[in-house]
Amino acid sequence: MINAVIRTEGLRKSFGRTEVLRGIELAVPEGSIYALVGANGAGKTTMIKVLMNILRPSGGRSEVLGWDSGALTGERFCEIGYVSENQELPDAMKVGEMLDYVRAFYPRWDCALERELVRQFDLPLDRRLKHLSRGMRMKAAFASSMAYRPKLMVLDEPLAGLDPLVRDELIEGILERATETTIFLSSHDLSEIESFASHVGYMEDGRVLFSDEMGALGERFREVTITMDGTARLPDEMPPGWLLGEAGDAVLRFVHSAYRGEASGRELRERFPAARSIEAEPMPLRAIFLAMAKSGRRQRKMQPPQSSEKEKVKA
Amino acid sequence: MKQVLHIFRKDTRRFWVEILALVTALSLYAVLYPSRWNYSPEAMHSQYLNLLLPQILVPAACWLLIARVIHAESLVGDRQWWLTRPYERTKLLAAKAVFIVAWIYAPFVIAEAVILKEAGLSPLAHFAGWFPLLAIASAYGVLPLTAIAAMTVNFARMTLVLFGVVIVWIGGTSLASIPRGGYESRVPDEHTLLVVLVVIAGALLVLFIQFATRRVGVAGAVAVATAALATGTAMLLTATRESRIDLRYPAASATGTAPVQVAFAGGSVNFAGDSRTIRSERQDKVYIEVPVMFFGVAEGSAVEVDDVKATIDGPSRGMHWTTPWWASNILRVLPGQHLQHVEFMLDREQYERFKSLPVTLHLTLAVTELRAGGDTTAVLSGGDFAVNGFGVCTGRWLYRFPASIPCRSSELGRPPLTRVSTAWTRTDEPGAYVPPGPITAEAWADTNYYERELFLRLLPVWPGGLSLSPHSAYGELSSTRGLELAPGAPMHFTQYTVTGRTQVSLMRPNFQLPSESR
Repeated sequence: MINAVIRTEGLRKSFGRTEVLRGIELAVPEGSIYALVGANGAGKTTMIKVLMNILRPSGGRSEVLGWDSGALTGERFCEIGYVSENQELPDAMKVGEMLDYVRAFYPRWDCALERELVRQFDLPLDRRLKHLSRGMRMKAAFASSMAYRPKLMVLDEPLAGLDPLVRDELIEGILERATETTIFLSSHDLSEIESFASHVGYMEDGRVLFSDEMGALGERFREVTITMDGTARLPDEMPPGWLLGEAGDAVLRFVHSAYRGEASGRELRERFPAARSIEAEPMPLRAIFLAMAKSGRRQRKMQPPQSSEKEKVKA
Repeated sequence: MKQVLHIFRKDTRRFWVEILALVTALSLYAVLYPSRWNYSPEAMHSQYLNLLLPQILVPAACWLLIARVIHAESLVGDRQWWLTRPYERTKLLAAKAVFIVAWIYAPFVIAEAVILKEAGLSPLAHFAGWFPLLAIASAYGVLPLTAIAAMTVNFARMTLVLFGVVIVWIGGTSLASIPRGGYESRVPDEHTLLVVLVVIAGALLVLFIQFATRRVGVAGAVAVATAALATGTAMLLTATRESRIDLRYPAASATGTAPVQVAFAGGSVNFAGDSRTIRSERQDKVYIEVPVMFFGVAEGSAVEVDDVKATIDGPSRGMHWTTPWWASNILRVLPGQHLQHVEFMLDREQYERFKSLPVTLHLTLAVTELRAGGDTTAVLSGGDFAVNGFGVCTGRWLYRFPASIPCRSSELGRPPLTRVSTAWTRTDEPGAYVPPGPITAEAWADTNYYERELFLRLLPVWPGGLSLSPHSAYGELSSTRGLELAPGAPMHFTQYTVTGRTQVSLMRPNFQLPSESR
């Protein structure tokens, strides 16, 4: 069993009749940079808010740093840094005032690190937060959440809407802390995530569909192209793990989400003995994400609507 | 404690403008309020604007300050930065409480103390009196505002909710007063404190829920339940007012000897000529005054008529009507035989129904028995003079007729009902006729005697006054020519304590309601 800093079991959250989290199972290993990806509305922010005890779960359980997330309060937040794209900050305060103010809450506040972060992020200490740009506000939030060297940094869409320069600065800041801190972040900005995340989880429609190490994920997903001599035809029933299958004149294409190297190659050759060639190309994270998202949508379209959805359709 | 002070310091630095606004409003209040007694009695009534200003500004400044300080760490929503910081909720609540104590209660108490001092009354003389005063301030202002702020996300939302609460409260109290049909009783209702306690308990519960769990739905339900319970309690109190007054004032037969005897005065058969209606602004009511003889009060005692209830029976069956208890004109009776005019109120509809018929009139008086107790003598002065156990009076307007001696006492320790007596001295004014014998002056000083609306008890000093007419053995004199209330004259202040309460009744058959004066 891995040493997880975040662990959820059957975590559920509903807002009225709308079920936003539908039994999340997740384990974030200690020391990892875990990226939770998913389309807008997948439930990433809600899950993070439940983990941070900002929202109360409707069911299941979740632990953060060994504590039940419902018990996260007070000094337990000395171990956790949380930055969110839509977080309200004490806008009336100047950056320096905010740092002065929050400093007193943390016994392990590192003033030298604070100075370094201020310098690194080029923060204007004498300007009010409400007068800062979005990027500057995020950097100020980062600085105030990193200077006490938390064991866990939870970042909700930290890079959304930032210009490339600020993104690079923030990513650099994150990576510099990665040796001492587990970083759990949500994003739909896959190109950046791919460059530094060690683990990735994919969330869709309130569920985590997969959670894996980045390397293993790259191994597991393959874009398979099978060229036949005659007319290519997909199997009537797609095997589990095959996504987005499509057939051209003599070419079959699909995404294999459970590719196991040579073993999977053999299986494909046995299934398609008449194939002229079988190619299984590694996929970038972005392509994996898109494949998962499209596949999910396709499946939802094929499923009969649930009662509430039926009512919506009627309406 | 470190975190509490840290948050408190932050809030103080951040909201210094709002704090300054409240302190300014309170200063204005402390400066303007003494005008209630520093002006001549004639000018006193024109000081309402001076009072109105701080009475609007102070609550408004409190409202703003409470909203700002509670919303600084808003308990509603899921985007607040402080939610994921090492705030201890109990310490956050404590920090807000310290802020409110330091910047609302303390300046308020200081302003009240300054007013008391200005009035010549010691703020420390009735220390225990501060607690009910602060409880009322909490129930009528601070706690409900804080609870509403804790359930709302910003000032605009809070304002909306507050208006809703005010509308519900006005609606509830109006609804509650309907059964009384405009008949206001003077009998103090100590159960009104129940409403205060309900509001305080409900507001504290809302604050606890919000600061401990941030469950806005639960807190909102508690707030609605509190408002419903407070309104319901107020309505229940109103609905049971009649029976509770009956319980508080048992019939004289049940208590033994009546403390006062009463009888209708006037003609033996029909004394409509002695009774009369009183012109009133109210179109739906008719006020009727009848002469009543009071006698049989024991030496060293007095009685006060608090409320009156009238029952009218017409000549035919079913013609019967009873008014609720109603606060008539103030009547206080000393030993001896005294003719007084008792006033009662009728719905116009009932008046029209009975006015041309001979009716049987029953009057029931709710009477408080008083016993003379402590006696203090003060020396009349041309300026302010202190009266032990009573307050401060001023002899600046003795030249008026009747001589006026405004007095003021501390709301923190109300003096009991006090009878004041003094003697006029003769001057050598040529042509003035003064009857032989002593010329006395007596008056009841009812400063602070009556229960008033609870929120008015927030005012630390309530001015009253003595009207002293000259009396000789032959009756009241019509002028003070040849007389003066000279500084240096001794004034006797006799305090009366309540010893019991009872109902006394009188009945008159063949009574003709007086025709209406136009």
